Amino acid sequence: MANRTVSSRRIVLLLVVTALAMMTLDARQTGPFQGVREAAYSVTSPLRSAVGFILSPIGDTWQGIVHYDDLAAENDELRERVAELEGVVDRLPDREAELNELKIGTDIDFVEALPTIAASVTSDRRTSVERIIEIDRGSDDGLREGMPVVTGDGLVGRIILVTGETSQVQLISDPRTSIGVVSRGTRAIGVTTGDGDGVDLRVDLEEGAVDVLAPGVRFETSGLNASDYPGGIPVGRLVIDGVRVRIEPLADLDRLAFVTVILTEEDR
Amino acid sequence: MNTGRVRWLRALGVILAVAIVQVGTFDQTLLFDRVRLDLPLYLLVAIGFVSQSQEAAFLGFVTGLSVDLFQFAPFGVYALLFSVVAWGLAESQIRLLHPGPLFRTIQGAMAIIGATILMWFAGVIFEQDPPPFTNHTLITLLMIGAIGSVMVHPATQVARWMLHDRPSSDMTSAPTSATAR
Repeated sequence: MANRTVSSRRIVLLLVVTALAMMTLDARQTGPFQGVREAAYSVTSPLRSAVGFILSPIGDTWQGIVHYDDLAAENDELRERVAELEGVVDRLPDREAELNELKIGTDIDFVEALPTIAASVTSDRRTSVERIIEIDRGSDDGLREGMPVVTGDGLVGRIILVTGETSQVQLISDPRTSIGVVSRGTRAIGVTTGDGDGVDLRVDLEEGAVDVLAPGVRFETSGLNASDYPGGIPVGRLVIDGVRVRIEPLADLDRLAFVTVILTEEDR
Repeated sequence: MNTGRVRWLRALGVILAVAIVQVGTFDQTLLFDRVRLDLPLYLLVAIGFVSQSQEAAFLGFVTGLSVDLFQFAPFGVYALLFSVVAWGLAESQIRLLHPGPLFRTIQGAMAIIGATILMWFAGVIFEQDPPPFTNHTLITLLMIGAIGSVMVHPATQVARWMLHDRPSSDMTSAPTSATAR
Protein backbone atom coordinates (compact mmCIF):
# COMPACT_ATOMS: atom_id res chain seq x y z
CA MET A 1 0.00 0.00 0.00
CA ALA A 2 2.76 2.42 1.05
CA ASN A 3 4.89 1.41 -1.96
CA ARG A 4 1.95 1.93 -4.30
CA THR A 5 1.31 5.43 -2.88
CA VAL A 6 4.98 6.38 -3.27
CA SER A 7 4.94 5.02 -6.81
CA SER A 8 1.79 6.96 -7.75
CA ARG A 9 3.32 10.13 -6.29
CA ARG A 10 6.39 9.60 -8.46
CA ILE A 11 4.19 9.21 -11.53
CA VAL A 12 2.27 12.38 -10.70
CA LEU A 13 5.53 14.22 -10.16
CA LEU A 14 6.81 12.96 -13.52
CA LEU A 15 3.59 14.06 -15.24
CA VAL A 16 3.75 17.49 -13.57
CA VAL A 17 7.36 17.96 -14.67
CA THR A 18 6.43 16.86 -18.21
CA ALA A 19 3.52 19.32 -18.31
CA LEU A 20 5.72 22.14 -17.01
CA ALA A 21 8.34 21.32 -19.66
CA MET A 22 5.68 21.45 -22.38
CA MET A 23 4.38 24.77 -21.08
CA THR A 24 7.91 26.19 -21.06
CA LEU A 25 8.61 25.00 -24.60
CA ASP A 26 5.28 26.39 -25.79
CA ALA A 27 5.94 29.74 -24.12
CA ARG A 28 9.33 29.88 -25.89
CA GLN A 29 7.62 28.80 -29.12
CA THR A 30 10.24 26.12 -29.64
CA GLY A 31 8.14 22.99 -29.27
CA PRO A 32 6.09 21.23 -31.93
CA PHE A 33 2.84 22.27 -30.27
CA GLN A 34 1.69 24.80 -32.86
CA GLY A 35 2.03 22.13 -35.56
CA VAL A 36 0.26 19.58 -33.38
CA ARG A 37 -2.64 21.97 -32.81
CA GLU A 38 -2.86 22.75 -36.53
CA ALA A 39 -2.94 19.04 -37.31
CA ALA A 40 -5.57 18.41 -34.62
CA TYR A 41 -7.78 21.19 -35.96
CA SER A 42 -7.35 20.10 -39.57
CA VAL A 43 -8.01 16.42 -38.91
CA THR A 44 -10.99 17.00 -36.66
CA SER A 45 -12.50 19.91 -38.58
CA PRO A 46 -15.15 17.78 -40.42
CA LEU A 47 -15.90 15.90 -37.20
CA ARG A 48 -16.33 19.10 -35.20
CA SER A 49 -18.60 20.53 -37.88
CA ALA A 50 -20.64 17.32 -37.96
CA VAL A 51 -20.96 17.25 -34.17
CA GLY A 52 -21.99 20.90 -34.14
CA PHE A 53 -24.53 20.26 -36.92
CA ILE A 54 -26.03 17.20 -35.19
CA LEU A 55 -26.22 18.73 -31.73
CA SER A 56 -27.21 22.26 -32.73
CA PRO A 57 -30.99 21.51 -32.62
CA ILE A 58 -30.58 20.42 -28.99
CA GLY A 59 -28.71 23.60 -28.17
CA ASP A 60 -31.24 25.72 -30.06
CA THR A 61 -34.12 24.04 -28.23
CA TRP A 62 -32.43 24.66 -24.90
CA GLN A 63 -31.75 28.29 -25.79
CA GLY A 64 -35.39 28.60 -26.82
CA ILE A 65 -36.56 27.26 -23.46
CA VAL A 66 -34.32 29.36 -21.23
CA HIS A 67 -34.46 32.51 -23.36
CA TYR A 68 -38.10 32.40 -24.46
CA ASP A 69 -38.88 35.90 -23.20
CA ASP A 70 -35.74 37.33 -24.78
CA LEU A 71 -36.55 35.62 -28.08
CA ALA A 72 -40.12 36.94 -28.07
CA ALA A 73 -38.85 40.47 -27.43
CA GLU A 74 -36.19 40.04 -30.10
CA ASN A 75 -38.84 38.84 -32.57
CA ASP A 76 -40.93 41.93 -31.92
CA GLU A 77 -37.88 44.11 -32.37
CA LEU A 78 -36.94 42.34 -35.61
CA ARG A 79 -40.48 42.71 -36.99
CA GLU A 80 -40.31 46.44 -36.35
CA ARG A 81 -36.90 46.55 -37.96
CA VAL A 82 -38.09 44.64 -41.02
CA ALA A 83 -41.00 47.06 -41.44
CA GLU A 84 -38.61 49.98 -41.10
CA LEU A 85 -36.18 48.50 -43.64
CA GLU A 86 -38.99 47.74 -46.08
CA GLY A 87 -39.82 51.42 -45.92
CA VAL A 88 -36.21 52.33 -46.58
CA VAL A 89 -36.00 49.97 -49.55
CA ASP A 90 -39.18 51.38 -51.01
CA ARG A 91 -37.64 54.82 -50.92
CA LEU A 92 -34.52 53.78 -52.77
CA PRO A 93 -34.72 54.48 -56.50
CA ASP A 94 -32.95 51.31 -57.56
CA ARG A 95 -30.72 48.49 -56.35
CA GLU A 96 -27.54 50.33 -57.29
CA ALA A 97 -28.29 53.13 -54.85
CA GLU A 98 -29.06 50.58 -52.16
CA LEU A 99 -25.74 48.83 -52.76
CA ASN A 100 -23.91 52.13 -52.53
CA GLU A 101 -25.48 52.81 -49.14
CA LEU A 102 -24.52 49.38 -47.93
CA LYS A 103 -20.98 49.92 -49.13
CA ILE A 104 -20.73 53.21 -47.28
CA GLY A 105 -22.12 51.60 -44.13
CA THR A 106 -19.68 48.72 -44.14
CA ASP A 107 -16.65 50.44 -45.58
CA ILE A 108 -13.57 50.06 -43.42
CA ASP A 109 -11.79 53.28 -44.27
CA PHE A 110 -8.57 52.58 -42.39
CA VAL A 111 -7.64 49.58 -44.51
CA GLU A 112 -7.08 51.68 -47.65
CA ALA A 113 -5.63 49.62 -50.49
CA LEU A 114 -5.19 46.33 -48.65
CA PRO A 115 -7.51 43.51 -49.72
CA THR A 116 -9.93 42.21 -47.12
CA ILE A 117 -12.29 39.32 -46.67
CA ALA A 118 -15.39 39.18 -44.47
CA ALA A 119 -15.91 36.27 -42.08
CA SER A 120 -18.50 35.23 -39.56
CA VAL A 121 -17.63 34.19 -36.03
CA THR A 122 -18.50 30.54 -35.52
CA SER A 123 -17.14 29.96 -32.05
CA ASP A 124 -16.27 32.15 -29.11
CA ARG A 125 -14.10 30.53 -26.46
CA ARG A 126 -13.19 32.69 -23.52
CA THR A 127 -11.95 30.59 -20.65
CA SER A 128 -9.93 31.71 -17.66
CA VAL A 129 -6.75 31.16 -19.66
CA GLU A 130 -7.52 32.30 -23.21
CA ARG A 131 -9.53 34.71 -25.39
CA ILE A 132 -10.07 33.07 -28.79
CA ILE A 133 -12.72 33.21 -31.51
CA GLU A 134 -13.06 30.94 -34.53
CA ILE A 135 -14.05 32.31 -37.95
CA ASP A 136 -15.39 30.50 -41.00
CA ARG A 137 -12.52 31.39 -43.32
CA GLY A 138 -9.23 29.55 -43.67
CA SER A 139 -6.26 28.95 -45.91
CA ASP A 140 -8.63 28.04 -48.77
CA ASP A 141 -9.71 31.70 -48.72
CA GLY A 142 -6.14 32.99 -48.64
CA LEU A 143 -5.85 33.50 -44.89
CA ARG A 144 -2.54 33.03 -43.13
CA GLU A 145 -1.31 33.22 -39.58
CA GLY A 146 -0.53 36.71 -38.38
CA MET A 147 -3.19 38.50 -40.44
CA PRO A 148 -5.03 41.21 -38.51
CA VAL A 149 -8.75 40.91 -37.89
CA VAL A 150 -10.91 44.03 -37.57
CA THR A 151 -14.45 45.35 -37.47
CA GLY A 152 -15.56 48.72 -38.78
CA ASP A 153 -14.75 50.14 -35.35
CA GLY A 154 -11.19 48.91 -35.03
CA LEU A 155 -8.77 46.09 -34.30
CA VAL A 156 -10.14 42.80 -32.95
CA GLY A 157 -7.08 40.53 -32.96
CA ARG A 158 -4.87 38.45 -35.20
CA ILE A 159 -5.00 34.98 -36.68
CA ILE A 160 -2.89 32.47 -34.78
CA LEU A 161 -3.93 29.20 -36.43
CA VAL A 162 -5.31 28.44 -39.88
CA THR A 163 -6.88 25.28 -41.27
CA GLY A 164 -8.45 24.87 -44.69
CA GLU A 165 -11.86 26.26 -43.78
CA THR A 166 -11.49 27.90 -40.37
CA SER A 167 -9.10 30.13 -38.46
CA GLN A 168 -8.51 30.86 -34.79
CA VAL A 169 -8.23 34.50 -33.81
CA GLN A 170 -6.50 35.65 -30.65
CA LEU A 171 -8.33 38.72 -29.38
CA ILE A 172 -6.51 41.89 -28.35
CA SER A 173 -7.89 41.30 -24.84
CA ASP A 174 -5.78 38.13 -24.54
CA PRO A 175 -2.82 38.84 -22.22
CA ARG A 176 -0.44 37.29 -24.75
CA THR A 177 -1.34 40.01 -27.28
CA SER A 178 0.92 43.05 -27.39
CA ILE A 179 0.37 45.86 -29.89
CA GLY A 180 2.58 48.81 -30.74
CA VAL A 181 0.33 51.89 -30.82
CA VAL A 182 0.64 55.58 -31.62
CA SER A 183 -1.73 58.48 -30.94
CA ARG A 184 -2.86 60.24 -34.09
CA GLY A 185 -2.44 63.80 -32.87
CA THR A 186 0.58 63.80 -30.58
CA ARG A 187 2.45 60.87 -32.16
CA ALA A 188 3.05 59.51 -28.62
CA ILE A 189 3.92 55.83 -28.86
CA GLY A 190 3.29 52.92 -26.52
CA VAL A 191 2.59 49.22 -26.25
CA THR A 192 -0.77 47.76 -25.19
CA THR A 193 -1.27 44.36 -23.58
CA GLY A 194 -4.53 42.47 -23.16
CA ASP A 195 -5.91 42.07 -19.67
CA GLY A 196 -8.92 39.80 -20.07
CA ASP A 197 -12.57 40.14 -21.03
CA GLY A 198 -14.41 43.35 -20.30
CA VAL A 199 -11.22 44.99 -19.05
CA ASP A 200 -9.48 47.85 -20.85
CA LEU A 201 -6.05 47.14 -22.34
CA ARG A 202 -2.96 47.90 -20.32
CA VAL A 203 -0.68 50.44 -21.97
CA ASP A 204 2.96 51.34 -21.48
CA LEU A 205 3.47 54.82 -22.93
CA GLU A 206 6.77 56.52 -23.64
CA GLU A 207 8.06 58.66 -20.78
CA GLY A 208 6.19 61.92 -20.29
CA ALA A 209 3.44 61.02 -22.74
CA VAL A 210 0.76 60.76 -20.04
CA ASP A 211 1.32 64.43 -19.11
CA VAL A 212 0.48 65.68 -22.60
CA LEU A 213 -2.30 63.27 -23.51
CA ALA A 214 -5.93 63.98 -22.74
CA PRO A 215 -8.48 61.25 -21.94
CA GLY A 216 -10.25 60.07 -25.06
CA VAL A 217 -7.25 60.42 -27.37
CA ARG A 218 -7.43 57.73 -30.01
CA PHE A 219 -4.61 55.26 -30.58
CA GLU A 220 -3.94 53.21 -33.68
CA THR A 221 -1.43 50.52 -34.59
CA SER A 222 2.00 52.06 -35.12
CA GLY A 223 3.21 49.56 -37.72
CA LEU A 224 6.76 50.12 -36.52
CA ASN A 225 9.51 47.57 -37.14
CA ALA A 226 8.80 44.07 -35.80
CA SER A 227 5.17 44.96 -35.18
CA ASP A 228 2.63 42.19 -35.74
CA TYR A 229 0.16 44.64 -37.28
CA PRO A 230 0.23 47.10 -40.19
CA GLY A 231 0.02 50.74 -39.19
CA GLY A 232 -3.12 52.85 -39.05
CA ILE A 233 -5.66 50.40 -37.63
CA PRO A 234 -7.69 52.07 -34.85
CA VAL A 235 -7.19 50.28 -31.52
CA GLY A 236 -8.82 52.29 -28.75
CA ARG A 237 -9.12 55.50 -26.83
CA LEU A 238 -7.16 56.59 -23.76
CA VAL A 239 -8.80 56.22 -20.36
CA ILE A 240 -7.15 57.90 -17.37
CA ASP A 241 -8.48 56.95 -13.95
CA GLY A 242 -6.21 58.48 -11.31
CA VAL A 243 -2.78 56.95 -11.86
CA ARG A 244 -4.24 54.12 -13.92
CA VAL A 245 -3.84 54.62 -17.65
CA ARG A 246 -5.62 52.23 -20.01
CA ILE A 247 -6.80 51.92 -23.59
CA GLU A 248 -10.48 51.16 -24.13
CA PRO A 249 -10.85 49.03 -27.30
CA LEU A 250 -12.94 50.66 -30.03
CA ALA A 251 -14.21 47.32 -31.34
CA ASP A 252 -16.92 45.70 -29.22
CA LEU A 253 -15.13 42.46 -28.38
CA ASP A 254 -18.13 41.07 -26.50
CA ARG A 255 -20.43 41.17 -29.54
CA LEU A 256 -18.54 39.76 -32.48
CA ALA A 257 -20.74 38.22 -35.15
CA PHE A 258 -18.93 39.35 -38.31
CA VAL A 259 -15.35 40.45 -38.73
CA THR A 260 -13.04 41.43 -41.56
CA VAL A 261 -9.63 39.90 -42.15
CA ILE A 262 -6.99 42.15 -43.70
CA LEU A 263 -5.04 40.11 -46.22
CA THR A 264 -1.59 41.45 -45.56
CA GLU A 265 0.98 40.66 -48.21
CA GLU A 266 3.65 39.01 -46.13
CA ASP A 267 4.33 37.62 -42.67
CA ARG A 268 4.99 40.42 -40.32
CA MET B 1 -5.10 -7.89 -29.31
CA ASN B 2 -5.15 -8.25 -25.54
CA THR B 3 -7.87 -6.75 -23.39
CA GLY B 4 -5.49 -4.28 -21.75
CA ARG B 5 -4.61 -2.72 -25.08
CA VAL B 6 -8.26 -2.65 -26.16
CA ARG B 7 -9.11 -0.92 -22.89
CA TRP B 8 -6.49 1.78 -23.42
CA LEU B 9 -7.50 2.32 -27.04
CA ARG B 10 -11.11 2.57 -25.95
CA ALA B 11 -10.15 5.10 -23.27
CA LEU B 12 -8.16 7.15 -25.78
CA GLY B 13 -11.07 7.09 -28.23
CA VAL B 14 -13.59 8.21 -25.61
CA ILE B 15 -11.30 10.98 -24.35
CA LEU B 16 -10.73 12.31 -27.88
CA ALA B 17 -14.43 12.05 -28.76
CA VAL B 18 -15.36 13.98 -25.63
CA ALA B 19 -12.82 16.71 -26.46
CA ILE B 20 -14.18 17.01 -30.02
CA VAL B 21 -17.81 17.18 -28.86
CA GLN B 22 -16.78 19.79 -26.29
CA VAL B 23 -15.00 22.06 -28.78
CA GLY B 24 -17.62 21.41 -31.49
CA THR B 25 -20.64 22.26 -29.39
CA PHE B 26 -20.49 22.87 -25.69
CA ASP B 27 -17.68 25.44 -25.69
CA GLN B 28 -20.12 27.84 -27.35
CA THR B 29 -23.10 27.24 -25.11
CA LEU B 30 -23.64 28.84 -21.73
CA LEU B 31 -26.40 27.56 -19.48
CA PHE B 32 -28.26 30.39 -17.79
CA ASP B 33 -25.72 32.72 -19.41
CA ARG B 34 -23.01 31.73 -16.97
CA VAL B 35 -22.24 27.98 -16.81
CA ARG B 36 -20.43 26.13 -19.58
CA LEU B 37 -20.95 22.36 -19.72
CA ASP B 38 -17.46 20.92 -19.46
CA LEU B 39 -17.56 17.29 -20.60
CA PRO B 40 -13.80 16.62 -20.24
CA LEU B 41 -13.98 17.84 -16.65
CA TYR B 42 -16.91 15.55 -15.82
CA LEU B 43 -15.08 12.62 -17.42
CA LEU B 44 -11.97 13.53 -15.44
CA VAL B 45 -13.84 13.43 -12.13
CA ALA B 46 -15.42 10.13 -13.12
CA ILE B 47 -11.98 8.71 -13.94
CA GLY B 48 -10.83 9.80 -10.49
CA PHE B 49 -13.77 7.92 -9.00
CA VAL B 50 -13.27 4.60 -10.79
CA SER B 51 -9.49 4.30 -11.28
CA GLN B 52 -6.47 3.55 -9.21
CA SER B 53 -4.36 6.61 -8.52
CA GLN B 54 -1.58 5.83 -11.03
CA GLU B 55 -4.05 5.12 -13.80
CA ALA B 56 -6.12 8.18 -12.85
CA ALA B 57 -3.08 10.46 -12.97
CA PHE B 58 -2.08 9.17 -16.39
CA LEU B 59 -5.61 9.30 -17.83
CA GLY B 60 -6.08 12.75 -16.30
CA PHE B 61 -2.90 13.82 -18.08
CA VAL B 62 -4.17 12.42 -21.41
CA THR B 63 -7.58 14.07 -20.92
CA GLY B 64 -5.82 17.35 -20.19
CA LEU B 65 -3.68 16.97 -23.33
CA SER B 66 -6.83 16.42 -25.40
CA VAL B 67 -8.16 19.74 -24.06
CA ASP B 68 -4.78 21.44 -24.65
CA LEU B 69 -4.95 20.35 -28.29
CA PHE B 70 -8.02 22.49 -28.92
CA GLN B 71 -7.32 25.39 -26.59
CA PHE B 72 -4.76 28.14 -26.95
CA ALA B 73 -3.73 28.32 -23.34
CA PRO B 74 -0.06 27.42 -22.72
CA PHE B 75 0.20 23.84 -23.97
CA GLY B 76 0.25 21.50 -20.99
CA VAL B 77 -1.63 23.61 -18.46
CA TYR B 78 -4.75 21.42 -18.62
CA ALA B 79 -2.62 18.27 -18.60
CA LEU B 80 -0.97 19.51 -15.42
CA LEU B 81 -4.20 20.46 -13.66
CA PHE B 82 -6.16 17.40 -14.79
CA SER B 83 -3.48 14.87 -13.80
CA VAL B 84 -3.24 16.36 -10.31
CA VAL B 85 -7.03 16.54 -9.85
CA ALA B 86 -7.61 12.96 -11.08
CA TRP B 87 -4.78 11.65 -8.91
CA GLY B 88 -6.08 13.51 -5.85
CA LEU B 89 -9.58 12.16 -6.37
CA ALA B 90 -8.36 8.59 -6.87
CA GLU B 91 -6.19 8.84 -3.76
CA SER B 92 -9.17 10.04 -1.76
CA GLN B 93 -11.21 7.03 -2.97
CA ILE B 94 -8.73 4.62 -1.41
CA ARG B 95 -9.71 5.89 2.01
CA LEU B 96 -13.44 5.45 1.37
CA LEU B 97 -15.35 2.24 1.92
CA HIS B 98 -18.41 1.92 -0.32
CA PRO B 99 -19.44 5.58 -0.52
CA GLY B 100 -23.18 6.02 -1.20
CA PRO B 101 -24.67 7.78 -4.26
CA LEU B 102 -25.42 10.93 -2.27
CA PHE B 103 -21.85 11.08 -1.01
CA ARG B 104 -20.55 10.60 -4.57
CA THR B 105 -22.86 13.37 -5.80
CA ILE B 106 -21.56 15.80 -3.21
CA GLN B 107 -17.99 14.68 -3.78
CA GLY B 108 -18.43 15.14 -7.54
CA ALA B 109 -19.78 18.66 -7.06
CA MET B 110 -16.91 19.55 -4.73
CA ALA B 111 -14.34 18.12 -7.15
CA ILE B 112 -15.77 20.09 -10.09
CA ILE B 113 -15.90 23.31 -8.08
CA GLY B 114 -12.34 22.67 -6.89
CA ALA B 115 -11.09 22.05 -10.43
CA THR B 116 -12.88 25.20 -11.64
CA ILE B 117 -11.20 27.25 -8.92
CA LEU B 118 -7.83 25.72 -9.87
CA MET B 119 -8.40 26.79 -13.47
CA TRP B 120 -9.34 30.25 -12.21
CA PHE B 121 -6.00 30.41 -10.38
CA ALA B 122 -4.24 29.22 -13.55
CA GLY B 123 -5.86 32.19 -15.28
CA VAL B 124 -4.46 34.48 -12.57
CA ILE B 125 -0.98 32.95 -13.00
CA PHE B 126 -1.16 33.59 -16.74
CA GLU B 127 -2.28 37.18 -16.11
CA GLN B 128 -5.79 36.78 -17.52
CA ASP B 129 -7.14 38.96 -14.72
CA PRO B 130 -10.33 36.94 -14.09
CA PRO B 131 -13.23 38.82 -12.54
CA PRO B 132 -12.93 39.40 -8.77
CA PHE B 133 -14.62 36.97 -6.40
CA THR B 134 -18.12 38.30 -5.69
CA ASN B 135 -21.56 36.94 -4.80
CA HIS B 136 -22.08 36.56 -8.54
CA THR B 137 -19.01 34.31 -8.70
CA LEU B 138 -20.24 32.30 -5.72
CA ILE B 139 -23.62 31.69 -7.37
CA THR B 140 -21.87 30.65 -10.59
CA LEU B 141 -19.64 28.22 -8.69
CA LEU B 142 -22.66 26.71 -6.91
CA MET B 143 -24.41 26.29 -10.26
CA ILE B 144 -21.29 24.68 -11.74
CA GLY B 145 -21.23 22.30 -8.77
CA ALA B 146 -24.95 21.50 -9.01
CA ILE B 147 -24.85 20.80 -12.75
CA GLY B 148 -21.58 18.92 -12.36
CA SER B 149 -23.00 16.71 -9.60
CA VAL B 150 -25.72 15.59 -12.01
CA MET B 151 -23.36 15.13 -14.97
CA VAL B 152 -20.85 13.11 -12.96
CA HIS B 153 -23.27 10.16 -12.73
CA PRO B 154 -23.50 9.41 -16.48
CA ALA B 155 -19.82 10.29 -16.80
CA THR B 156 -19.02 7.65 -14.21
CA GLN B 157 -20.92 5.06 -16.21
CA VAL B 158 -18.94 6.05 -19.32
CA ALA B 159 -15.66 5.87 -17.39
CA ARG B 160 -16.56 2.42 -16.04
CA TRP B 161 -17.37 1.18 -19.54
CA MET B 162 -14.21 2.78 -20.87
CA LEU B 163 -11.87 1.36 -18.26
CA HIS B 164 -13.39 -1.93 -17.25
CA ASP B 165 -14.26 -4.97 -19.21
CA ARG B 166 -17.79 -5.18 -17.82
CA PRO B 167 -20.10 -2.21 -17.30
CA SER B 168 -21.42 -1.71 -13.81
CA SER B 169 -24.70 -0.18 -12.76
CA ASP B 170 -23.47 0.26 -9.21
CA MET B 171 -21.98 3.70 -8.76
CA THR B 172 -21.24 3.01 -5.13
CA SER B 173 -18.64 0.30 -5.55
CA ALA B 174 -15.19 1.27 -4.34
CA PRO B 175 -12.40 1.63 -6.91
CA THR B 176 -10.37 -1.08 -5.23
CA SER B 177 -13.00 -3.64 -6.14
CA ALA B 178 -13.63 -2.15 -9.56
CA THR B 179 -9.98 -2.15 -10.56
CA ALA B 180 -9.06 -5.56 -9.16
CA ARG B 181 -8.28 -7.10 -12.49
